[in-house]
Amino acid sequence: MSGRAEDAPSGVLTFSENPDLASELLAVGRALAAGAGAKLTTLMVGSALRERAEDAIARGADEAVLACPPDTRPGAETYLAALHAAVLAHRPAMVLVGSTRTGVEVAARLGQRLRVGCVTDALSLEIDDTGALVATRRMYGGQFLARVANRSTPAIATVPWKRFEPPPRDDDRRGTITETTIQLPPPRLRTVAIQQRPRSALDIRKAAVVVAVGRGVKRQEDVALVEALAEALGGALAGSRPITDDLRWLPPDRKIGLSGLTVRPSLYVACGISGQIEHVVGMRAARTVVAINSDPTAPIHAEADYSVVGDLYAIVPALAAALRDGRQRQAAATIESLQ
Amino acid sequence: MTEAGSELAIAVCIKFTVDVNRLRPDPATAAPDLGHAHYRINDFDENALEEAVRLKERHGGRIVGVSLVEREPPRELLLRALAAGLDALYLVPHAAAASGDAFVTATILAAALEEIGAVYEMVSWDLVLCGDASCDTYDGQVGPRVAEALGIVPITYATRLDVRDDTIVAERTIEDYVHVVEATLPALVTVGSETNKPRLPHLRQIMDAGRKPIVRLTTAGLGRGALDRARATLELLGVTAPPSARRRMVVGGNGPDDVARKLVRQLQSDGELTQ
Ligand SMILES: Cc1cc2nc3c(=O)[nH]c(=O)nc-3n(C[C@H](O)[C@H](O)[C@H](O)COP(=O)(O)OP(=O)(O)OC[C@H]3O[C@@H](n4cnc5c(N)ncnc54)[C@H](O)[C@@H]3O)c2cc1C
Repeated sequence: MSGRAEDAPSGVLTFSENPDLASELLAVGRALAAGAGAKLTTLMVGSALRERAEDAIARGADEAVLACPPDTRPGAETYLAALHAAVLAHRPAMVLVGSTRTGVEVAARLGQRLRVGCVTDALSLEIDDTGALVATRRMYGGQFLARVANRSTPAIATVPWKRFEPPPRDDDRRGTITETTIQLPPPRLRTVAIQQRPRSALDIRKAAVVVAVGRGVKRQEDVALVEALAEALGGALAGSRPITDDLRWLPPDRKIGLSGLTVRPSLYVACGISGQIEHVVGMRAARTVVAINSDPTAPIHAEADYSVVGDLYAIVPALAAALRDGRQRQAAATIESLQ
Repeated sequence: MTEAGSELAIAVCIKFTVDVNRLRPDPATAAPDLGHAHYRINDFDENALEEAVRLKERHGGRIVGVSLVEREPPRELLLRALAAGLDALYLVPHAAAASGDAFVTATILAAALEEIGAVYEMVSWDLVLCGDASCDTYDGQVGPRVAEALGIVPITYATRLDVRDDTIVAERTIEDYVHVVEATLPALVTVGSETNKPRLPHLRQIMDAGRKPIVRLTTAGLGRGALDRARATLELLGVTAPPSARRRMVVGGNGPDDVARKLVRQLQSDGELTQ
């Protein structure tokens, strides 16, 4: 049900075009709505959304609004129109949007249309005693954390991927499903083509050991040296931005850092990575960090538990060999103990 | 479009930011030591400027830079932006320029772009170029917000772009996808480090930079309206550096094999080599 004009704005409205992130937003949305004693509404845009809507209700939404565009035209313009319409109809106190590239564009443009503030990439969100939405977010490349109060109505925030667990399903929960249509202006952006970039089969966020390669590697074929170390450690191979974006020696989903992924492995080995802050924020949560870098002044050494100041072309193969050697001896000892 | 019908009127939004890699926490408070900060042109804005220069080389036209500044940036940075290919640089002073409130920044930038186009340059912009985000806040809001405020189409995260007559064609990188789009000008385009590699200016360009105009606008000149409309929406409550608890041990030895053996032994005793 829509809020009436005389009511003060209340409740939380969530939206992400990414279904996983949309479920994760329900966790934050539920916590904030509980604090505000208010309703959690989630917006979905597209067609055939019934099943997802029921899932959202089981995971904590009070209402799922299904917005069906006149044609199946995805993209920022459609999402923005649907979200803007939902804000006007439901008058939420807070709007949470998933921090994809499209999501940030939509949230920012919604903020400008409504003349309100938006905090992007919130790591945590809470309501303070003045009723403001207070977010923690990274600043200055990630070396610092900022606490930012958004006092706008509605207060908009975007939430990154995999920051929160989707709430568990409770099949006894009841909620409303509302279907609406949205009006769209003629498209200003015409899609010419959509191509998928190469993707890796493996998710580096799930690896217990991550070995990352940086610009210290001179040629594409030398990435294999670092890959061999990753194999010897039973870990995943990742890279710094120059390797994934500029040189494209690894797929983009292997990038660690501010504009890439955040990993929390038990062991992280940086090979030929300088340790610029935008990289470091992606690996800071690792339990143990090893840095291999020939420059004793490289900032990565300050972020490491164990530093090797030396040429990775010598150290990395030696380390891989020592690991293989150690494992062979261990295997031999195990076999012996069984005889 | 400008008079000739094919030349481009391009505005590039530029932020002079702190160099985040040279910013240290104050040991006593863990807050950023902004008093000793070094400044630079935001990385992605250098890509935006380079892209503007490439478009101008192909199509002709004029490039102006617009920057919202809390205080006058170091002169060498202004000259650097001019040497990279700006024809003129407009500075708009505003007390909230460094506050990181994208609503305020975008509202004033949009008002300044309109004023500069109408009054100083006598053009309507074909293209406004911005960086995808700035390296200090990494927020990504200003480009799309300025487009919204100006009522022009935003093309975010463009990695390649070209203009044909009055049509812009761009490749965007959206997570795992390359999205090729086209739109009729005017448009606002945001770019990042994948878009191009900024060239170093020639000696000639460096020498010419000193003769190019730097125009200092006042926000009062933008009309009370712009300022009233740009009230703060966010409040920065505090900024601190979380402490680092790394051991910072240098593993040395007699050649690579010895170092490798010592490191493996250490990791084994830490319990990090379980598999
Ligand atoms: C807004 C923004 C977002 C960004 N996001 C990210 C991000 O998500 N991830 C990311 O990684 N970066 C990101 N960056 C880029 C970041 O600032 C750095 O440019 C990048 O991390 C550097 O990569 P690198 O360490 O591989 O290369 P470099 O900085 O070039 O370092 C190479 C290192 O290799 C060492 N080396 C050279 N040869 C050898 C050798 N033979 N043996 C051992 N060591 C050697 C050198 O001493 C040097 O320290 C971002 C930047 C900005 C502005």
